[in-house]
Amino acid sequence: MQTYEQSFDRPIPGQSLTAELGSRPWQQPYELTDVEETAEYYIAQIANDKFSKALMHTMKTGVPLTTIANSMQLVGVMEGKHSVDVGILVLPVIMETMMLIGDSAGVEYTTGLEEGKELDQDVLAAAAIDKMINNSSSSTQKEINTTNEEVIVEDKPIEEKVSSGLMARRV
Amino acid sequence: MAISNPTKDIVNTIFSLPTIPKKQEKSDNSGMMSPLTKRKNVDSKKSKMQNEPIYKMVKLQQDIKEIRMQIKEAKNANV
Repeated sequence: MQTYEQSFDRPIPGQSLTAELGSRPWQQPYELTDVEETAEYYIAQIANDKFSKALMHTMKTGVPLTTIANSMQLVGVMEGKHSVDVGILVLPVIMETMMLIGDSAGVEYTTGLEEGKELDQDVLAAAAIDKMINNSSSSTQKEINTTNEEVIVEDKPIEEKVSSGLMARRV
Repeated sequence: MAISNPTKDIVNTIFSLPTIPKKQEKSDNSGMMSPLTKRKNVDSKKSKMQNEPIYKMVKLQQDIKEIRMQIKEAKNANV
């Protein structure tokens, strides 16, 4: 028997009716209705210097390109740029452009299309956390080493002050 | 419970499609026989498939892939 985990991370029934109809961007007419226009919009966005640097950094962390591409097109839908079906059609182009950026920069990336590698979110999250911990532990180790050196420097024998006043007395 | 990944399925399907052959360059119809061989209404003869959004996207993806492969080959040749 198949059991389903109950998820609380979803909208409550009727939540969509709490805002006035047409007040959300995705309820407005889409800005881009043509797939070619939409593809151009995403290619321009990915080719942007700032974005491509951030993208390469994300690629290095091991996040699959399918996840990034899907998030990008979902944001486009949320902002009312295009419809869901246009977003789905544009997905391969977004992925290919990202792969082009990664290859030209020589960054190793995970496409998310590899056989036998299921996109288990928990495993992905655990891997990312491990990587972060490793990075932070190596930097902490460096800090500890430097502080130890400082401590060693500080551990010099303190010279006894020779009291030389009138009221001085020996201890 | 196994979570399906529609993005993976869609992209996998499109990436596995065969390469679309490039159009052959047509003659400019400037010869002596040009009035006879000249085609009229070329656009109307264009197959309907080429106007489909998915066809356009697959073609664009394959063009980008070609550029990517060229860059990759150039990099490998330098190394």
